[in-house]
Amino acid sequence: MRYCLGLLFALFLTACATPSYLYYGNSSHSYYRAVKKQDEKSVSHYKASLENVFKRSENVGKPVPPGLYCDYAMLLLAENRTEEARIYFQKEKQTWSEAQQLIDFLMLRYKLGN
Amino acid sequence: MNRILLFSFALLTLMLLTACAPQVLMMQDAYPKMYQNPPVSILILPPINKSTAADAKEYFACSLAEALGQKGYYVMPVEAVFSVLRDEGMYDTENVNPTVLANMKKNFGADAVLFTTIEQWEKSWALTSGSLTITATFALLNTANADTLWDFSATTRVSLQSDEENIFAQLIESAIKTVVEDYFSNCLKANMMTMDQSMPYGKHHPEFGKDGETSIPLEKHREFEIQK
Repeated sequence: MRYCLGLLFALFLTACATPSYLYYGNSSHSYYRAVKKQDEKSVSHYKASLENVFKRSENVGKPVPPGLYCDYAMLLLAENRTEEARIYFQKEKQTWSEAQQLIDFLMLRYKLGN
Repeated sequence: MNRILLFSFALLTLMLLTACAPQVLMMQDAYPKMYQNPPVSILILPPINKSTAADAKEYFACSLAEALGQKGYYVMPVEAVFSVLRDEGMYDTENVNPTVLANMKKNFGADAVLFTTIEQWEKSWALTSGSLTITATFALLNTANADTLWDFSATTRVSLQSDEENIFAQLIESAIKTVVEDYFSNCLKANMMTMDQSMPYGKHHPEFGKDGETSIPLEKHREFEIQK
């Protein structure tokens, strides 16, 4: 009886829940761990979580959440992979027109041209 | 005489009804500037931590982007922005003034900045229960003129109670600590609930412009309970 009631309540909650507008996966949590630990393993997990968001967002036809392409570009920059970083900075601009000014500022700052 | 009695009774009833009516505001009345000239891009400033928990600032900094992004705003990339603020000696949000705000518009293109103050971050333990209480205030300011566009505060209490036998008390205590001490997840959940129930939708969200008549408490404060 208790199980049935619990199931009914869970079903009710599921029916009422609005689907998320964007898919973040566990990228926020991985970002926190990378900031906190600042070691190779946690940064690598953070990168993998971002790659997962890019893939899943594309599969379900949602835009990649704001800032995540840029964050990925920053991680590539830290590895001196400047050409790839430039590609991801551009992706941020293409996905979100509001990013134009900030990305131009960052590309100038990190001497990546436009 | 009857008329006077009837009138008095009606007046008393009206007064009682008014006193019992929930004190709420419609979002469009509470935050008219969010509807007249809605901001599109938001820059999250490093949170101000007034609590005694040193780590609370990082929990907030890393979880706010998702909470705001899900509301339909363009959230400026947190890591990139924070690294610029650190390099430029502007990481202390307490020193942000209208000139700094204008620079955030000029350099980053941010329409608004989010100030967050962590007022309380308290945990408590008993043998088979534990809780974490988080109180934070939020203010969204227009970078063009430093006007407050939106402000709110919330207290979230995360609690866990075990109904197991005390024979395993030590094990239970440790399990409770693990669940309640999953601070980042708890903080993300608290911020998601706060934004979800108090902030108007941004331009990119399918519900944008449709929430003007949604009610929020008159005091612009909510209390949330999370049972684990």
